[in-house]
Amino acid sequence: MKGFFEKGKLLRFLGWAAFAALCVLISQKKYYALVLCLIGIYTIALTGLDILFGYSGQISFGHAGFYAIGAYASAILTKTYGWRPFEAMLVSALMAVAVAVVIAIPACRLRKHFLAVLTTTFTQIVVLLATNMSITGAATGISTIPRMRIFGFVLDSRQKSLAFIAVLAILGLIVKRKIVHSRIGRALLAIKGNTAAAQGLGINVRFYKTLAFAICAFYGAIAGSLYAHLVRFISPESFEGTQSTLFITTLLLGGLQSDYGALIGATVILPMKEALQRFADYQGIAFALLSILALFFFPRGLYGLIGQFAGFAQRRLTKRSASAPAERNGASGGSGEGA
Amino acid sequence: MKKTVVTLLATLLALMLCAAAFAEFTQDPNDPYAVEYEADGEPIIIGNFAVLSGKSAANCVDYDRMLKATMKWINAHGGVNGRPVDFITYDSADSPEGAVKAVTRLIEDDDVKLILSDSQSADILAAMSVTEEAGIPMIGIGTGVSWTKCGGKYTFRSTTSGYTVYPSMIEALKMMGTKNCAFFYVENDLGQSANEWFNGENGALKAAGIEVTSISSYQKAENDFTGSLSAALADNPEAIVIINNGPNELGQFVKQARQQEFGGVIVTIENAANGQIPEVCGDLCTGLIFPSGGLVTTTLEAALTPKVREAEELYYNYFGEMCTGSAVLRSYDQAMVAAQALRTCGNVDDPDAIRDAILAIKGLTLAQGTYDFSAGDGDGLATCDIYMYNGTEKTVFDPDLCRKLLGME
Amino acid sequence: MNILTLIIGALVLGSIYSIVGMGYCVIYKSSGLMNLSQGQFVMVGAYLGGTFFTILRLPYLLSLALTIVSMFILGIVIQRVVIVNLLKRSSNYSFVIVCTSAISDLLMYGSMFIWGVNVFHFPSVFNMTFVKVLGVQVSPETLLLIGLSFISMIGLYLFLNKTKFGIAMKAEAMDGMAASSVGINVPAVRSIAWGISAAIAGVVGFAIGPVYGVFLTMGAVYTPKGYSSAIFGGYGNIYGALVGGMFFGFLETFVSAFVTASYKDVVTFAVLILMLTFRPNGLFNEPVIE
Repeated sequence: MKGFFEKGKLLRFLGWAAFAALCVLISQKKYYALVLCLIGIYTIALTGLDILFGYSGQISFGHAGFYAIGAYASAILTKTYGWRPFEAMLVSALMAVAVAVVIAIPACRLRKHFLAVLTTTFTQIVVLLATNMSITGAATGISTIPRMRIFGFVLDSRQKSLAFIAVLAILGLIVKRKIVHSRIGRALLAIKGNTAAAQGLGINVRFYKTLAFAICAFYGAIAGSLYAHLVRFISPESFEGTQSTLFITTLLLGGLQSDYGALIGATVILPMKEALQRFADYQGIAFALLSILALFFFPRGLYGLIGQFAGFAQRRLTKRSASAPAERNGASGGSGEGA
Repeated sequence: MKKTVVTLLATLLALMLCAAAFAEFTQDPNDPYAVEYEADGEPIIIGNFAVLSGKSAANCVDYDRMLKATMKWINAHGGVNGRPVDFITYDSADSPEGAVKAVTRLIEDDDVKLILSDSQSADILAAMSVTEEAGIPMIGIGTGVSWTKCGGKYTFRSTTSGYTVYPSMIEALKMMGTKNCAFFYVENDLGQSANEWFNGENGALKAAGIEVTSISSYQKAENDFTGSLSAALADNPEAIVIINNGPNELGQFVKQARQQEFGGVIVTIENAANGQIPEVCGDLCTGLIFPSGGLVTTTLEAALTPKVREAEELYYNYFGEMCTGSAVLRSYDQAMVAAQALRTCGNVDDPDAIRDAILAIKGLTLAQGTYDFSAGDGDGLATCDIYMYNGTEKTVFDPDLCRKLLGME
Repeated sequence: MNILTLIIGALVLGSIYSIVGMGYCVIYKSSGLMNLSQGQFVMVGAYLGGTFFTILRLPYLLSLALTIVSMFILGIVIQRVVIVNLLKRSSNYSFVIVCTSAISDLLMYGSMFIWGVNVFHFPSVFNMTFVKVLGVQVSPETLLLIGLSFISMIGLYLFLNKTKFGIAMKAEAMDGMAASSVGINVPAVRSIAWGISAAIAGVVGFAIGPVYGVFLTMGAVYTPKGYSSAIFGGYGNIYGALVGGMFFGFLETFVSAFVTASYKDVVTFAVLILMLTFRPNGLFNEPVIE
C-alpha cells in the first residue's frame, strides 16, 4: 500500500513537472506568456476567494473591489509617489486588508443574501469612487504604470513577469494549503457547517470571519497589484461588477473548497475565453449555462470531477488487486472445505 | 444516473475545448465579411481590435461592419499597389485588458505591422503601452483627447478629436449670441477631459465671454435627468452644453429638457448625428446643435460631399440599407488612411516606414474632411463642420434658421 | 426650481424601484430565497412588450396582457426547472444566489441573442408629446408608467389578501410545514410567487419602454435598486418595499437636484450599507427568515 502511495506521489510530481514544462514551452510566444501571466494572477485572486467563499462559506461578490484596491493603491504609490513596485504591492495588500477589516464589521453579522448585497455594494462604491476621484485618474484611469521590479531586477518581458507571477502563485497555493489544514481552516469549516455549534465550541466566530475576509482581501490585492504592473493600464471599467461574477464563476467551475480548484478554474476558463473569441456573441450564454450546469452536476467543480474520476480509477485498480487474493482465498477455502 | 450525467458533461466540456482549439485554425467559410482577394499578390495583413462583446458593443457594431466593408472595397479596387489587404480582428471585449491581449497577440503571433483600433479611448490607452514599445503604428478612432495627449510616437487618430470639436461648439454658441449656458458632462474619460477644457483653469467658455451658470455631471448609463436638469434650469440659462456618452442617453436628455420647458439651443458632441436621436425625441430634436466631421444622410442624393456619398454608397452596396450613424464615416476614413499609408510607405514590412508614411499624409480628402498628419501630434483632422436638427432632419447649422425654429425672434 | 416636476420624476423612479423590490419580497416570503435576476425580468418584459406592441403591432392592452402571461410563465419555468431542482441537489444557500446571478446573465445574453445589441425604441403610445398637469409639462407615458405600477401594486395587494392563493401564500410564509399539513400545496404556492414577481416586473418593463427606451443593460440598473428598496423597508415586507422604493426614488431625484448628480448612487449605496449595518431588519423590523 505504501508503495502505491509513493507511486501516486511520483505521478503527482510528474504531472506538475509536465505542467511546468508545458508552461515554459508555451510561453515562448509572448501572447501565450501573457495569458499564462493572467492565469497566475487569477489563481492568486481565486485562492483568496476560496478561503472566504469556499472554506468559511461567506458569499462574496466583492472580490473585484479588493482587486481594484490592490491595483489602484499599487499604481498610485509607484506612479505618483515613486515607490518601488514590490513594496507598493505589499503595502497595497495591507491597505486592502485594512478595508476588509472595516467591511467585516457589518459583514460578520450578516448572512446569506444580505452578505451578497453588502459585498456587491462594496464593489460598486469602490468603482464609483475610482471614477470620480482625481487621485485615481478618474474615468481615464492610470496609464504607463511602472513595471514590476524586484531587487533592482526589472521584469521587462512577459516571460520574466510570468516567472515572478508563477512563483507568487505557487507560494499562494502553498500558504493557503497550510492555512486551511491548520487550526484556522478547521475553525472556518466549523463555522461554515454550523455557526451556533462553532460558537458553542468556543470558536470566536467574529474573529475568524474577519480573518477570512482579511486573507481574501490580501490575496485579491496582491493579484490586483500584479495585474496593474503587468497590463500597465487600469481604469474603473476593469473592475466593474462583471469582474466579481467572473471570479465566482471561475472558482466554482474550478472547484470550491479545494486545494487546486483556483488553479484549475483559471487554467481552463481563461484560455477557453481566449479561444472562443470568434464566438463572442455566444460566449456570455455559454458561460452562464456552464455555471448553472456546474452548480447542478459538479458542485465541487472540475477539481471534484477529476477527483471523482481518479477515485473511480483507483477503486477499480484496488478492487482488481484486492479481488485477486480474495479469489485465491475463496478458492483455497473452498478446496479446504472440499477436502 | 449521476455518473452518466457527469461523464456526459465532462465529454461536452472536452468537446468544447477541442472545438475551441479547432476554431483557432479554421475560417468560417460563410463569413459574409470574409475578404475576397480580387487584387492579386500576397495579402498584406493588418491587425484590428474591436468591441464585439460587452456593454459598448451596441455602440460599436457599425464601426466593425464598415471597416470590413471598406477593406473589401479597397481590395475590389486594386488593393494596395496591387496587393490585397486582409486583416485579423480580435475582440477587445470592451475592456482594457482585452485590448492589451489583442494587440499583444496581433504583434507577437500574427506579426502585423499596422494596427487599427476600436473607438474606446480606454482600450486605446491600454493598447498603447504595447504598441508604442513595439514600435508598431496604430490608427485609432476614439475621440477622447487623453490618448493623443500622452505623446505617443506611433499612435494616430483618423477622426475628429475633442480639441477639434470643442472650438466648433463654442463657435456655435457665439453665433447664437449666447451669453450664458449650463454645462453637463458624463463621468467618463471623454466627459471629464471636456469639462477640463471648457471649464478648467483657462476655461474656454469663460474665455469666449460665456458665463457658465451651472456644471453638473452624471454617471454612465443614466436615463433620468429630472433632478439635475431642474436644478440647472432654475438659473434660466440661454443654452445647454452637454458632453454625452451615447445616443439613447442624449435623446433622453433632450426630451427631458424640452419637457421641463427649456426653449434654447442644446449644443453637444458629434454622436448627436446618430439616427437614434430622432427616434427617441422626434420633433423635440429641433435646436440640437453638434459639430461633426461629416454627416450621413437618409438618401444618397442628399449626401453633402462626394466622399460621404462614396462611403454611404459603399455601405449601401454591402448591407442593402442606408447607414444611420456617422460612426461609419470614422471607420471608412480609418481604412482609407491605412491604405494610403501602406501605398506610399515603400516597404509594408517596416513599421517605421508606415509611420513615416502616415506622418507624410497631407491634403488627403476623405469623408470627414481633409487630413494632415504633418504636425506630428497624432491628430490628422483639424476642422469640422457644425450641423443642427430641424425637426428630425439634420442640416448645416444656420443661426438665423435655428432662432426662427425655436421661436427666439 | 419646480418642485412638482421633481416629485413626478421621483414618483417614476420610486414606482419602478418599488415594483422590483416587491418582486424580491414576494419570492423571499414564499421561499426564503433571493433572486438576483429580478432586474433582468424588467428588461425581458420590456423586450417582450416591445415585440408584441411594435413588431407584431398588437393593441396596447393585448400586448400588456401577453407580456404579463409570458413573464408569469417565465418566472414559473425558472423556478420549476432550475431553482427547485437545485435545492433538491444541495442545500447550500450561496449556490442559489450564484445560480440566480447566472440566470441573470443568461437572460441578458439570451436577449442580446434574440433582440440584438441596438436600443429598441417604443413608439409613443399617445398621439401627443406632453400634457400639462398642474402647470407642469409631463409626458403621458410617464403618467402611464406611474399608473400601471400602482395598478399592479393594488393587484398584488388584492391577490395576497383576498384570494385563496394569496392567503395560502401568507400561511406558507408564516410556517411552511404547518401550511403543508393543512393541505396547502406549498410547491405550487412557491412557483406562483416566482411567476407573480416576474409578471409585475414585466408590467413595469412594458411601461418603461416608451419612457426610457429598451436596452440590454437596463436590468443591471434595477437589480441593485430593487434590493436596496426591499432591504430599506424590511426584506420580505411588501409595504416596506413600497416605502423603500419611494424613499430611494425621492432620495435620488432630490439629491441630484440639490446636492450632487454624479454621487447620487454613492448616497444610495451608503444608505443601504448603513441600513445593513445598523438595522438589517429594515424600517418595519421584518424578521429574517432562517
